[in-house]
Amino acid sequence: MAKLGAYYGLCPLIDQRNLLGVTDDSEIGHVIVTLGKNIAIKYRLSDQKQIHSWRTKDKFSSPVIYDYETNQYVAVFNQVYIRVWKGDEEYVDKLKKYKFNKPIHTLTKCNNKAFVVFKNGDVTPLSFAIENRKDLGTEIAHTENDADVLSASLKNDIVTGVLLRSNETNYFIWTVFSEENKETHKIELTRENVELVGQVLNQTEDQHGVHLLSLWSDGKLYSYPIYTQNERDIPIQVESPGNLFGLIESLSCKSPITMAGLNHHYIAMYGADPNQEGAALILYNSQFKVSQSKQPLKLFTSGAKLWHIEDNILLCVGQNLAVIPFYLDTEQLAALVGSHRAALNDLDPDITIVEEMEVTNWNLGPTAEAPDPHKSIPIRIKTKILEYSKQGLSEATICQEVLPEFIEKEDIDSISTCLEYFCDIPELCLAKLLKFCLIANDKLFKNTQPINSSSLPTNLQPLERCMLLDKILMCSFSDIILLPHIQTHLDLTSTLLLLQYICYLMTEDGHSLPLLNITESENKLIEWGCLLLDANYQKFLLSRDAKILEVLTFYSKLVGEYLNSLESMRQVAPLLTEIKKGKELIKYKQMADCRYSIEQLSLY
Amino acid sequence: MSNCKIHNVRFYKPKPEAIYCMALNKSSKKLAVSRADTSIEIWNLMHTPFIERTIPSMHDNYSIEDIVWSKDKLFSVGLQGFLIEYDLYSLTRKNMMAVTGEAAFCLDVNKDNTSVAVGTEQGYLNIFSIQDDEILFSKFLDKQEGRILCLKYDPSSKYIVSGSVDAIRVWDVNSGHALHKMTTGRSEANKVTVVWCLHVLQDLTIISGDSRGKLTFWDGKIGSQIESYQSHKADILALCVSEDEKSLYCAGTDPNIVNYVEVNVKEGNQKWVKNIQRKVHDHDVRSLVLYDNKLYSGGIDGYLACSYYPPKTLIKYPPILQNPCVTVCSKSRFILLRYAKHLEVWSLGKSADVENNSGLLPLATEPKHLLTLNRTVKSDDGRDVAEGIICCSLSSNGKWIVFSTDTVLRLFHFNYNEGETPELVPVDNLPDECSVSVQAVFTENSSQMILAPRGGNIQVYDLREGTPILAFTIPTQQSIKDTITFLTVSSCGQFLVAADPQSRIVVWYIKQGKWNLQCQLPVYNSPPTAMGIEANSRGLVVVYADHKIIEYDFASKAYTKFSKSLSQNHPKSWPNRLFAVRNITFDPRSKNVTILHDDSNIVVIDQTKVG
Repeated sequence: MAKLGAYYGLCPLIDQRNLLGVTDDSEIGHVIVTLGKNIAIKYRLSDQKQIHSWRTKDKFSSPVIYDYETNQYVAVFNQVYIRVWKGDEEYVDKLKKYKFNKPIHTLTKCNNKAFVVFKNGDVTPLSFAIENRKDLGTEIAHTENDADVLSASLKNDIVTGVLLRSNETNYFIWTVFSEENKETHKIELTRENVELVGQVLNQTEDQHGVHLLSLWSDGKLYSYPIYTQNERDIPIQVESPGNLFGLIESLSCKSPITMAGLNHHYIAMYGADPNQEGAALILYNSQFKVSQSKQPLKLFTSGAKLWHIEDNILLCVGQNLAVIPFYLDTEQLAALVGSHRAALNDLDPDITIVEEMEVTNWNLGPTAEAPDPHKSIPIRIKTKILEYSKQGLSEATICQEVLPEFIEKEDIDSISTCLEYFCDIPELCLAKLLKFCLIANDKLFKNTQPINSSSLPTNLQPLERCMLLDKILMCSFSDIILLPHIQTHLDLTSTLLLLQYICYLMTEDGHSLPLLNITESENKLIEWGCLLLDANYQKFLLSRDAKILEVLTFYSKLVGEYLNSLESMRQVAPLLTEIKKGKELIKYKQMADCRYSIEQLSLY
Repeated sequence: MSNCKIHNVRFYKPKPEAIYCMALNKSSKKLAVSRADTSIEIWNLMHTPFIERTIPSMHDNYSIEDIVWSKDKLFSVGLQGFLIEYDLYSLTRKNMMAVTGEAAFCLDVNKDNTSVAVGTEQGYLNIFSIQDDEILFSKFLDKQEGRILCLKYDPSSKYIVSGSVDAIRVWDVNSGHALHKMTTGRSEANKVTVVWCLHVLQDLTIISGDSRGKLTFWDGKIGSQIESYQSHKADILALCVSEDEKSLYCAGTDPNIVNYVEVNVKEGNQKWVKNIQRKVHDHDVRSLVLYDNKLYSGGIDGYLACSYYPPKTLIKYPPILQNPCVTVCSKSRFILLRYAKHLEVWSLGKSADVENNSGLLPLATEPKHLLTLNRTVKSDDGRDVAEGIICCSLSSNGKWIVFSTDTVLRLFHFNYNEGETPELVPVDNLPDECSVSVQAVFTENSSQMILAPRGGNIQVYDLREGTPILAFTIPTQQSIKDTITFLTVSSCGQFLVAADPQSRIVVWYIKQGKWNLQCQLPVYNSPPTAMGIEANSRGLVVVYADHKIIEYDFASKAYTKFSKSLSQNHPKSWPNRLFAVRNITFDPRSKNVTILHDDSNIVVIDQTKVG
């Protein structure tokens, strides 16, 4: 379960663009906000109080970070100087500064280690950088101002990357810092016709690797494996941008989306609301690929920055820096059933989605074949259903899509097969099916064998119609939900016909419903009868139609018979209890006359 | 072996009669209880209270408003305007005196039992003097306005206090004038206050209970009210004061019995304050009597309740007629049910014999109501009134029915064959000696009828001829001096036992047609409540009011060994039982088994099992 808490403002922002960054402080519950270029303030989150502030006449060009290794604050000034200080000072200009040859893009921190990101794409650890500041020189790429720095950590390994955007293409350059090594790689991220709107580095599901999740303007999220710790994994050659990971539809992907990883399952995303009104912050579950919590915001600022510190997300909202606490818990799959929907809009019919799945089986031997869940679908309806079920739709939804089509096409066989196959048919569909079955033309039914029974209403011939009706009657339903549907969809004639059919089934000529024994069948029919009577209660009450009266008389007689039989059962019940207990039966038991009785007993 | 079929008869439902008045005779420990049907029950309070004798209702004595004891004489007055003295020996009226003033409501006897005062409707207070054999009209006091509803002599017998509507008057007996008139006042302007009951204390303090529910204390010397308490929500009908005059109980239409005690308030003053209440009855309480610490209360619900504290006890005696009220005839399978004013004869049902003793048996035949018998007499205003029945009996073969009312004794032939209508033929031409009797039994072979006539002696009639012929008269004046309240004959017909409430039990045996005195049991200090002759006629078992059980052997004329050991061995709770034993019977299959019962339990005494 992921939940976003209520947000509160931390501090006013002068200008959003000038906000360089928010970083966590040495103490828990404190953040350092580097506002503008001149001032960095340390805030306490609990009461939003300013604890300390640092000013400079030189300009900050990176957020102030706290380096755990040296226990000091570090910041970049004017892109070439780095100053390090303890934290007590207010004006930091007087401190010693280290000059660098190459311009520095920013400082970044990951897993409590500080790194310097140069504008040429190089990333070095801070301590190393300060020492060897004169000698750094690897040139990887040329960055312009808008480059996003991403980082992720995997146990002791740290992956940092820089994403460079340009008009033609995007490059992602990442460096992996393991024990001693440092590896740098570069890939190109492009897709045809779509633009990259967001990116984040996240740990993979098995927590042995890091992948780059890139979000494109068609809403698709792709995952590219960056690094894996597990050497046993055979590196799969993945083409950039990677594999289709998921689909984001709770945010409008037409505008840039800011993403931040919260833990290996959750990603926070900020973007425009799909209704084009305002913005939203969502928590996206990468395990189940659903978005869970959503916090709507009034104003959307494109490219707004998002930071994740401890349990809070810090975000620029309007003229303020807002703090949104979040709560993460392990997600329960049961809660998510049916909530996954595929985006059916904008599906380019030329694109085929190929998903390769590896099916494994734990219980059987290594050579046994896994049962194909899709095999049991009857062939007639297989193709359609397969398509929907792959999208992860629940049975109810599939029915709602598939059955109306069949009804329209008047495809009796498919309806029949559907009724047999599905167990959870939504009530609305049931009502529509009933209506169709009752008023369908005789000619539709191929099996024109008539039923020889006088009590069966002629409108319900032929046999196949009855068989179809039986199948519909066998379906389980919730009467509260079905009642309004019956009222809307079934008119009085059809209801009457159905009631007559149920009457017919309850008589001696009638058969029991298929697959049910007599008791269950009668139970079911009684349920249906009650439902139909409830649905049309007022109409029946006011009507003077002879047929309705006939049906109602039949029912009342039936109820009377049942009650009578209950009466005789009640008499027998004590006897049965006695027999069950194994007690002797008293052959003659006479009720004592109040006036006089003779009893025999042992007096002494 | 001990299996028996028990017939549960629930169609005997005698109507419970309300208790209207009670009077206590302290010296003989008897309580006279008069009921709504004007029958008077004399309860013996010596040990366990039980009905010793009953004076049946007489058709012309249709109302008893108040009763009182004078030594051992019982007097009553009623709306018919007579002062009646009862003969407790013959269970009938002794003397009847008309009172001046039409209907009489109340009466009281003075301390020396020399005179009786009667208060009447017209307002005349009659004074009668009690002589040995008769009562003589003495005088009446000044007529007062309004009816006199209650009156009491003061302890010195010089004054009479009378209560009427809205007023209480203190009369000087000698002069006949009213000394004081105290008005009670009214709670509502148009509703009169009726003074229902009164008591006068030693210092002439008058305590009255009236229809407002108020208990009022008056100073009789100066004629003014001392104190008044609203003790009840409705009329106070009955009042009684303890001997030491420190505690009183009152109750009435509001059945709460409230106790007031006199307490010492500072500086020697006394004040009457409310003490605990008792909820005993559900309906009106008409009469309260205090005997020792025990309060006897009776009211409309018909129960005689005895309540006392400590320990908190309440015993209620149900309104059941004096024994015997049911006669079972084994040969004919009839039962005779005695009601207060009529008899019923039923035939018992039959059931199939079943091996095991399993609860209810299916009935093969239903019980049938065969006969309802009563004697009606034309009353003064021409109505038919049923007379109260003193005794009745049915012979074992079901052919003879005898009953006696206050005026006549009647004997009938009764014929019933199954499937036919029963036939009742009165036996006319009874011998002259056949008169009103207090007891009647038939022998087991239905050949003899034994009567205990009112006047004394025991008459044995031979029935073999079809009409009763007096065969023998057993004189009883020497042996039994009181009314015969028990009369039983053994199943073999050889022995006859009679007993009176003073515990004189006499046994006769028959030899060549003559009845001779066999023995007389030792007189015990407690009256007998039940007795029965053993099935083999070996002896007699008697249960006394204090629950002592004795077995007396006829042949040896002594208590049996078992009887002697029983008195030492019976369970501890036995003597403390609340109800008196009503009947004793014997299991014919086993000579060692005695079965007896009281109002709540059946007790089986197996001689073989008792240590």
